[in-house]
Amino acid sequence: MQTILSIRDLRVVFEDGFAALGGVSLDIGQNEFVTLLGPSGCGKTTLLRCIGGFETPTGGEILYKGRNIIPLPPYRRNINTVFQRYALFPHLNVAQNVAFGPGLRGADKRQTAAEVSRMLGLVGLAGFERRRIASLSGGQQQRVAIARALINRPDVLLLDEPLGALDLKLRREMQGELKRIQRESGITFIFVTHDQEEALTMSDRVAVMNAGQILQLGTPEDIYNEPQSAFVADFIGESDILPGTMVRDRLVRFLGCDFPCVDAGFGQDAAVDIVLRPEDVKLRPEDDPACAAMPAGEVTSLLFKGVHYEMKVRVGGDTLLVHSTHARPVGTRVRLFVAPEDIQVMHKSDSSPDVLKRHAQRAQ
Amino acid sequence: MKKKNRALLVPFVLWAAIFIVLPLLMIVYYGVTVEVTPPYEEIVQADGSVAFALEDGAVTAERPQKETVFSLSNFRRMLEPTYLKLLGRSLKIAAITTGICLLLGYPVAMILSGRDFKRPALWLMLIILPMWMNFLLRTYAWMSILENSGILNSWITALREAVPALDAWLTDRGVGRKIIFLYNENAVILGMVYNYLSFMIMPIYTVIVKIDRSLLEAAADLGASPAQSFLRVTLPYSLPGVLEGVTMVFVPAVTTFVISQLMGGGKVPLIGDIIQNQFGKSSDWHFGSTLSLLVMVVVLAFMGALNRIDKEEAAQKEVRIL
Repeated sequence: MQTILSIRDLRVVFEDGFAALGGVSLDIGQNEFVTLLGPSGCGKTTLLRCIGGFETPTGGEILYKGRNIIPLPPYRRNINTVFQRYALFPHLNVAQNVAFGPGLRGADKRQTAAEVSRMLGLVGLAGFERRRIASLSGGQQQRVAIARALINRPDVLLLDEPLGALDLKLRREMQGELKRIQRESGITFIFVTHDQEEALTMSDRVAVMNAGQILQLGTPEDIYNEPQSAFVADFIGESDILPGTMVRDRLVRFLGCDFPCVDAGFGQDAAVDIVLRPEDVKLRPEDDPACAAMPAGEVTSLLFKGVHYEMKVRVGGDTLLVHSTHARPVGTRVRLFVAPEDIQVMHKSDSSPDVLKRHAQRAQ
Repeated sequence: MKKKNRALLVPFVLWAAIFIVLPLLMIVYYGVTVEVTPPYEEIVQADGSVAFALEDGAVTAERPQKETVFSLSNFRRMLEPTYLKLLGRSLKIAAITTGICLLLGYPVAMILSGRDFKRPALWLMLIILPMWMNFLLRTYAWMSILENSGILNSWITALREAVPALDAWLTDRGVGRKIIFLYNENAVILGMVYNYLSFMIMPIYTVIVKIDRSLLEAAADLGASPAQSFLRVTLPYSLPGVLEGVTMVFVPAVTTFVISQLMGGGKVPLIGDIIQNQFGKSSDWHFGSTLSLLVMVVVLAFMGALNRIDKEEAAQKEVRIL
């Protein structure tokens, strides 16, 4: 895959001294769907605004097809943005909004009109040309904003939480639509969101950000199954994070028991964090002879969640979240079983950069 | 509306009736009437007393008094070239003033509303602050700067003495020792621009500062250079503010008389001066009222036209959408 956008050690320090971005590096390929995921204030929107040209970085480079574009104003970049609140022009109708970019370049009117209709068709708004912006629903406005950006045939489309204002059903629908548009148009999408489910559903790769840093970059499966830090594990889906000890390679101790695992290279008796996904923790009867060496606990709460039951199990001083299709009443004594490949072992104090680097090397 | 709330309106209604409606009715009344003394002859009667014979043959012992009668003769007089020319000059000067205020005020409003502009409140205050001083005082200040032996001329003289080359250059071009700045149209326009500029800046600033920044970012994102962004986003959105500013400057500029009297020294009489004159020296309230009605009609017509621009703009938006 050819790299189209290369971000090198990008730094943004605001006037009040707040470091919104503390040295971010990221390569984005042609026709890739990359999501910047993180809580509000993590720097994801700042990074997007730097790429769009609305924020001037205090350090680093943004290479677009090998050329540093930081000195270029937004209107000189072949990059378009779908803004968080769409920023449609209320004094223009749908067609005029979409035709804004071609109009600026003095494009042929009849050709533009045809192109506008084609774009509106692509986003599922055929026949909406003469509608007023104010008469459109949130989802429709969002599609107009996408059409208005796409008509300029950008190489990269930036999307700043474009689904944030939509209700759940519409959001699901638009996630599919966006993915389809990205595939059909061949454009690189950089998508900003704080919704982990959205990120996992749509992206080719996800960059999890916090405090102005990219903590982990990888495919949705990698990010979900192999979180490299407690923060990522906690942010992506629900998880149980427990203190543990790496007894030796492929054997880890937590909750007072030894578990075989697949991790190695931590050394002997190293303090580690253990991440367990709630659906990976299996509950067995306390008297199951096959699990006699597993930690025992007691179910303290039971909630029906539709697809599964959510239970809390107290083991000694720790409480674990467990998802299961099989309900166990509150007060039931159980034993916990976790398969070796479902145990994710992480270094303690894992968010420091050098630890992250080691993780990255290990992953390779 | 609730009755209790309606009671709150009473003071305003009274105020409006006494100070707006009543004077207006009086102006209309004065405007359509004239004072005449019926023609009469003095006759000395046999007993030596004086009697007065009226045209219809009646004889009275009392000297006939002036009477107020209905007449539209002042309207005929109003349409004489002298007065129409004065009105024309007033409109011209007001239009020039409004144009200059717009050219100066719009950029100021834009700069002040810019995102990178620090402390706009302070600068707005500095713009408004002079307006807190007495209007006459401000105008007199300009006169003392501009008059023949004023500050500006004394500086120019000093500069000419210090730089002989400049002096020679100016003399070659026929510039006299004292430059006459005051008592011409330009001086009147300067006085008006100075006094009314802030009325142009404020409404435009208020509108521009409310324009959603993301719209400008969107325009830039779609490839609009700063100039295109201005023409396609900022300007259409600021039009209501511009129209309001134009009204706020043009209307007082048409009717003023103080500025033209002070800065123009009576050499550039405007329609306002003539009206003031009728109520003052000439004490012909009737003709003064007729001229006032004329100005009122012109101003109303002007505001009506502006209103239509605003509406047409809105209607055009509708049409484009349909």
